[in-house]
Amino acid sequence: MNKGEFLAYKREGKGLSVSDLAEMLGVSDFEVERWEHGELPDSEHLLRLAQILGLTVEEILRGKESETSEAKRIPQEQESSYDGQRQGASETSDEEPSSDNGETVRNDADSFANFKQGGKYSHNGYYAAERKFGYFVFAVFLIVVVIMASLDFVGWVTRPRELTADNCKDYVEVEIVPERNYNADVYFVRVTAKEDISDFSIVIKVEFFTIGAGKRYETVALQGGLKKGESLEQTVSLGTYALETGYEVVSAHGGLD
Amino acid sequence: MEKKKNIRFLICQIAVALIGLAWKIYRGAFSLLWTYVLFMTFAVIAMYFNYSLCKLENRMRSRFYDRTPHDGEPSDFRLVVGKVAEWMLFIMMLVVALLPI
Repeated sequence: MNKGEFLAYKREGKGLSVSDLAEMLGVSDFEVERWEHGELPDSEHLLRLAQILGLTVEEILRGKESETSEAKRIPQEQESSYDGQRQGASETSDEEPSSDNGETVRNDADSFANFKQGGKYSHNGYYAAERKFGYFVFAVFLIVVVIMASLDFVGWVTRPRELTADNCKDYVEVEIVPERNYNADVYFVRVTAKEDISDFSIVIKVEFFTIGAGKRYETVALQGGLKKGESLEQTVSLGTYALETGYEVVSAHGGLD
Repeated sequence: MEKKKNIRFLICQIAVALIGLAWKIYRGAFSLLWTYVLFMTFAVIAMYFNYSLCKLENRMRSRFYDRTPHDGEPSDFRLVVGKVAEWMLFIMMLVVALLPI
């Protein structure tokens, strides 16, 4: 029988389950199982464990019962009154605690009480400093959101109500598309609305380059109401091969909702 | 008392996360929407259950690698490292909420 089996044997002999023993010692079930797999208990638990199992510390460490160590065993009756005696002693005397491990036993009880009441090590949740930091982060985030929302609102209030040649690129997209990708002599001038525009009209001057005549300009006028995403289109037939080299919006009118 | 404070803080945190989500939707910034939802949910939950997650991780590691598994009680250092990582993730997601993409 090894040390772990010895502990398990003695525990069962006392009619205790792993959970019972763990609860009495203020440790987890895994910790007790660990001891019963052969690991030595931490020194802070040894004395209390010896009391509960009716053994000596030496017997726990050796992993077997000793014939000669009966006198060294700590009686069970002493166990229940132990905390009270120690507490009373510390209240009535200014003496430093002795180094007989009594203090350690009392601390075990304290830590188990702490465990049961949701102490530091048994709780999910947040540290106090963490909460302060968190509230600060929340405040900064909300301030940034409020500032951005305010800027959006101001932009919406002061938005232009009329379409003009200056702001038309924000509200319409102009495309000059050749009929084919080589030797094009026909182009489509297409205007697509990015927003709803009422009573829309636009005049576009498109610049072309031809080999024979050099630069050549064509003026295109489009009009009609446009919903967002709708397009107006006009065909420009040049009669000769030409390259489109740019365009200019001469005028634009319309109502923006 | 401590539990009340924790619950109040958790509610505030969830509220901030929802405000971030609403802001993203309002701005039409949908490309990182699911990234935001996924990581923000994880960050909020993990931050609250940091202790359990650390303990579970320690215990699993112990079960796989130790000859005699221990109960996985996490150290203070391990808990703080977990918290720092979760806060970094949370703050990164708040920044993502403000991005116009």
